[in-house]
Amino acid sequence: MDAILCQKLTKKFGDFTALDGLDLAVEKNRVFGFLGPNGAGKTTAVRMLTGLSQPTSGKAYVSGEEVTPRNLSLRSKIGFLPDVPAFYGWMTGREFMLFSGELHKLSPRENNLRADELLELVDLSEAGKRRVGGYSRGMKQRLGIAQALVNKPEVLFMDEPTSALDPMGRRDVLNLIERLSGDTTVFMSTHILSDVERVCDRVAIINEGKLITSASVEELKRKYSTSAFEIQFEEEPTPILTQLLKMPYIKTAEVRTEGEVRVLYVQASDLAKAKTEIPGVIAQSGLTLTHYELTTPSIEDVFIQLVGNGAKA
Amino acid sequence: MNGLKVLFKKELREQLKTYKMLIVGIAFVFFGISTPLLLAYLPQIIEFSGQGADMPINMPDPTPLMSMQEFGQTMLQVGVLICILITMGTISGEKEKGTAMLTLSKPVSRGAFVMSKYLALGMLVFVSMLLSAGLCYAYTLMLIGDFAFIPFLGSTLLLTLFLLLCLAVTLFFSSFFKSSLAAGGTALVLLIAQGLATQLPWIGKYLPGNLSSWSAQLLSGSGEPAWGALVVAVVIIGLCLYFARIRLEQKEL
Repeated sequence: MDAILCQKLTKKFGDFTALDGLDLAVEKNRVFGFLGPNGAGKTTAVRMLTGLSQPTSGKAYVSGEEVTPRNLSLRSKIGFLPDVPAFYGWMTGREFMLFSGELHKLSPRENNLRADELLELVDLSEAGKRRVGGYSRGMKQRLGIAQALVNKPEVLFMDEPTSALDPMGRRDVLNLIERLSGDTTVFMSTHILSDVERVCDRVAIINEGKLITSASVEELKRKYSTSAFEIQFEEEPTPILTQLLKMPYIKTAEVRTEGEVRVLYVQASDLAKAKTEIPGVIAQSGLTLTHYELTTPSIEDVFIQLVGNGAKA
Repeated sequence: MNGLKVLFKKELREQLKTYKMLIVGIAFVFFGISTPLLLAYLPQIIEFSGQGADMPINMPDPTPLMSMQEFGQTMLQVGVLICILITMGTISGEKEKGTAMLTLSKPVSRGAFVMSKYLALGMLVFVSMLLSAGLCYAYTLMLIGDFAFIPFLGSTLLLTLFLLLCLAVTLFFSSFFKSSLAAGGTALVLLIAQGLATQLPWIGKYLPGNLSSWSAQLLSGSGEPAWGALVVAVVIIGLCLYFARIRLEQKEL
């Protein structure tokens, strides 16, 4: 059974379609990255999947239950971290954790233990005694993560979980998500591509409310991005460019100027053949080689290729 | 209603920690005490201020009925304003800040969310009103004279019911509008309009505004009870809470 299933999920605000017929399936206990530029419809989708917003049409199922605003049993199985978590400023961090636990019907003993355990996990044990009103954005984000985990959720929805965090906080949150994988399904919307590359098993990319693709990170890289050779010479590389373009295993070759350096970028349709033959071509050219590297594609390359350079992310 | 008890407890703690309970309590108590005090000591206050020395003002001797009626009128005006002020931001404010989204992502029904707010505010207004009326009654007895307790209690309860109606109407508009000011303003205009409409034939006598005239008549011992208006007020309270819940279910958080 899929942990999350969307069937033609659509959300319209007047004439504007924020999400357009999203079909998506997320396997259980995976970390799923929901990628898209700003305004792509990520937050809208997350809110509909958590029952906080009603779809205009289509259906969504989480943990086998249909998502509706009145389905409370579903909400006891999920955890939710909004993009900007807001708390009652008069409560202390620990009081908010206890309040969340009470809403999930934890026993007082279990609630106290869970609050302490989670506050420690997000490094707020001391700050938990202070009012949330005085917390920084990063502290609120960490408290938001802690409260989303209070019920040991089957599915954890996180809307831009690392966007407000400093590098250390980001590393901790990503470590935490990695630890959760295998026991919890994590659905993480983000536009930070390096986060996705680090923790996600699978990703879906959306743009302007439409799903562009959904696959594993490796599959995407294989499918949409080709390995490239970065070659530099002491001399101008144009003579070898003409020679390379004649080779049948070469897909593209171009010279780019990076600062004062001229770099030759070569993409091959047959990588194995290119690996064995390009060094020979270089040797015959008589040019002085200073740099030779086979670069691996990143999710960023895939994202830019799919969403286009016009995306704001 | 899932989560009602936890949310109700949270609302009461919020009232306490943000001093809402204290401020509302003090405001009600102030008006409860000041009415008989002013009536009893107004001649002396005027005398001390020196005004009226050239042109003496003949003031009628204060009676307990005057004190009770004055209290009713004051509470009707001030009480309505206080009720609107403390309720207008309760749902719209939570939606705007984003706290409603986090709370409602938990296994909590929208009905419990609305009801917890109404019950906590209702309890605050009910207790403050009884405290205020009790002090007004005690000071009237001490400073002005005796007055039958049961009519005064009945009159106070009718006024309290009207204030509970104000809370429900404002709470509905708070779920309806994004802005607290729009919620409070609309509730105020509607409450004033229904007060004016009590003069209309046929439907006028069923409007909740008649509760205030029934309350005054209970004190003077004249006039007819307005049971129709009482039933309509209770029905409106129920409808406002129901539609506040529906609105919260339909609206984007």
